[in-house]
Amino acid sequence: MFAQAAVHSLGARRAETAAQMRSLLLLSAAGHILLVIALGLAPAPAPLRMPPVLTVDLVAALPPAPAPEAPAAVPAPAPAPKPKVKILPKKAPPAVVKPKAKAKPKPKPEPVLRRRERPKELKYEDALAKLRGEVDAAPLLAAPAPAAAAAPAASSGRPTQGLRVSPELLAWHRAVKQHVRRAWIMPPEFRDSGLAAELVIDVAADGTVLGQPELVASSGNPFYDDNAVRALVKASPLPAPPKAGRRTIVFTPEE
Amino acid sequence: MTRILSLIGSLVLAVLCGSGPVAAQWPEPAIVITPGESRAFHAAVQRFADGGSPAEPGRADALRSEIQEGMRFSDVLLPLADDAFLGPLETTELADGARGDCSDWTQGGADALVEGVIATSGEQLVVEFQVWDTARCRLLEKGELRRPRAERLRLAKLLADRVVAAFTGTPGVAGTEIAFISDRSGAREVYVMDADGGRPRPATRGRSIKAFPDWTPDGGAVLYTSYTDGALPALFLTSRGEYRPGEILGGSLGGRPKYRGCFAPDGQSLAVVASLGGATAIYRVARDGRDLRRLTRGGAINISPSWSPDGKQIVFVSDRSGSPQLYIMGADGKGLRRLTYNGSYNTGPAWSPDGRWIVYETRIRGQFDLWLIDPSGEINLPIVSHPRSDEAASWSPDSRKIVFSSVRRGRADLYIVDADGDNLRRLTRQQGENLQPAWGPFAR
Repeated sequence: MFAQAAVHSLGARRAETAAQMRSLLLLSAAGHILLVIALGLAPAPAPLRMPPVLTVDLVAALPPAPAPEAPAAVPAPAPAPKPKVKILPKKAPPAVVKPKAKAKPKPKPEPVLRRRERPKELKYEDALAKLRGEVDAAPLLAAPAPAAAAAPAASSGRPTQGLRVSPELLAWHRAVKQHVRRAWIMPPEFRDSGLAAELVIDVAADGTVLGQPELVASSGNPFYDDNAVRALVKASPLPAPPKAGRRTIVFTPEE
Repeated sequence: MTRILSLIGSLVLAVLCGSGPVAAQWPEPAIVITPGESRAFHAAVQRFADGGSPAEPGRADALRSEIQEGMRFSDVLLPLADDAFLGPLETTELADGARGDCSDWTQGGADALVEGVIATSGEQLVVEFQVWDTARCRLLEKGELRRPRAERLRLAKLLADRVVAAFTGTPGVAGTEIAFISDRSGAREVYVMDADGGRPRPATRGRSIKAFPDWTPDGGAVLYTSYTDGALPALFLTSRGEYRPGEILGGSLGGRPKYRGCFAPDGQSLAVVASLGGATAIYRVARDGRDLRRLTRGGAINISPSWSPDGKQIVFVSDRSGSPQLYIMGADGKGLRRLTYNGSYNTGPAWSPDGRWIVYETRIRGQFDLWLIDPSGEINLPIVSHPRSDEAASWSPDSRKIVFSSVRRGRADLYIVDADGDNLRRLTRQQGENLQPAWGPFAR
């Protein structure tokens, strides 16, 4: 008797639970559908404002990514494939002699052979230029500089793809770099100094720098800052930009 | 159920509205400029107005040429050629406060404009001058210099150095001097000349052999070693200012022979090389002889000390490894580390005033060449090479140039070269051997 009652009671509870479950599943499904619709209609989320970019090598920016595929039925995105990183063989600077800290000092052969065959690039300036060349050649994604790593991610939401910059803007940036470099005279004492000055300029449609460049981040050395301002004034007019407006220029003695 | 639907609705609304009406856009990335070809600035040096009554013919032209020559020597701010002048060639009066012709100067290629007035006050030549930044149309410096009338060239060099300082923060070196050893008069004496090789003059006279000149940090005196017959080598000062000339540290180090002295950057103490039994050690001692401290230990030969510009370290030569090599130690003798491993004979180190480099001699096929090494030992490269020896390098106070002696023409002469190995020039053309140059501090 007791057993029958217990079985009955259990069956009734099961039926009640099943009905609740169905209701909840329906609600959950409706909720998901609404959420997907809402996400589709919503504007892109506001990106995080990052601190000013100090080092961005646009040469390494990738071309625009292909159009995204239609959204998959399952909203969970597959993990983005890791970019293939090509490790370039590290070239030793030609004239660098690294001492082995713990090596037992032993007489080494006189450097006369290397010395006499020394090509011109062993000079200080050339060695630096060579090092710069290596930096230029290195792909950004293979070895991102800390500042570059802190650069804002592309609006596509694929941070590993680098910056998305229109080809026109990219070409203009390159032209401005070349143009201002010619006007910027770098006294030797500022080389390898680690100084960097950030300025903002107002560029007219014809490339004219309007007014005086505004120093927004001092290098800490007034002569360095003045020199950067001077370079921009001398470089005006710049190549005509794709669009007039305010631009940020960073002067740094190192790549 | 209703509550759940309400929650979902709220969530949707939050997603739709919460992000704000306009999402912030990414800023355009900064344009990063790195240095291109290193070039010099250009300065338009006007012919200064002659305020003398009457004006002295040719004086303003001569002064202008001398200022321009001083700027060429420093090689930082080069004089603008006359045919590039789009503004007036001569100062009529000093611009007061502002000027409206800056674009004329920038279009002609001038980064700076130097204008001035020359006058005479008794036996003094008085020059008022102004340095303008033409790109920003700003007055960088306004100054006055006075010198005896016979020292117009000196005044011009000092003015040229001031113009360089106004632009880069580091003065030029046209007005600096170099002390060196020469036997042109028969005995090896200390001489001093202008950094461009001009006005060589003896600073010592006597029968002893002089060696290893070294300036006091303020440029008021030159320290040197004197070898007199029958006496141990000792340290002396030859002075032109407040310093008392004569022997220094005579009573210290227990009367041991002192082979070389080298002032610390603060001028308050010296590193002294002295013998001790069979060894040669480096000591540190206050200028008045107190606080004597031995910095190197062991029975090796330790010579040629050179201070780091902050006075915290000393680079020197030791044969403790079996061959002469460069070592660096703290100014208290601690923290010893070997710096050079290339070559079997490295000597003559000189620490650059900016602290970045140490120039030294390395022996290659029996001759010495000049190399640079950074204090960490990571970068080591040659700057001056020749089949005949280049030795005894010393830095200009702006760390842009190096003076050294070389026997490349058969006898020892002094040469200067840029720190990157360019612009090699001979300074001494007189008879005799010219050795062991020591470039003095910035002119005052």
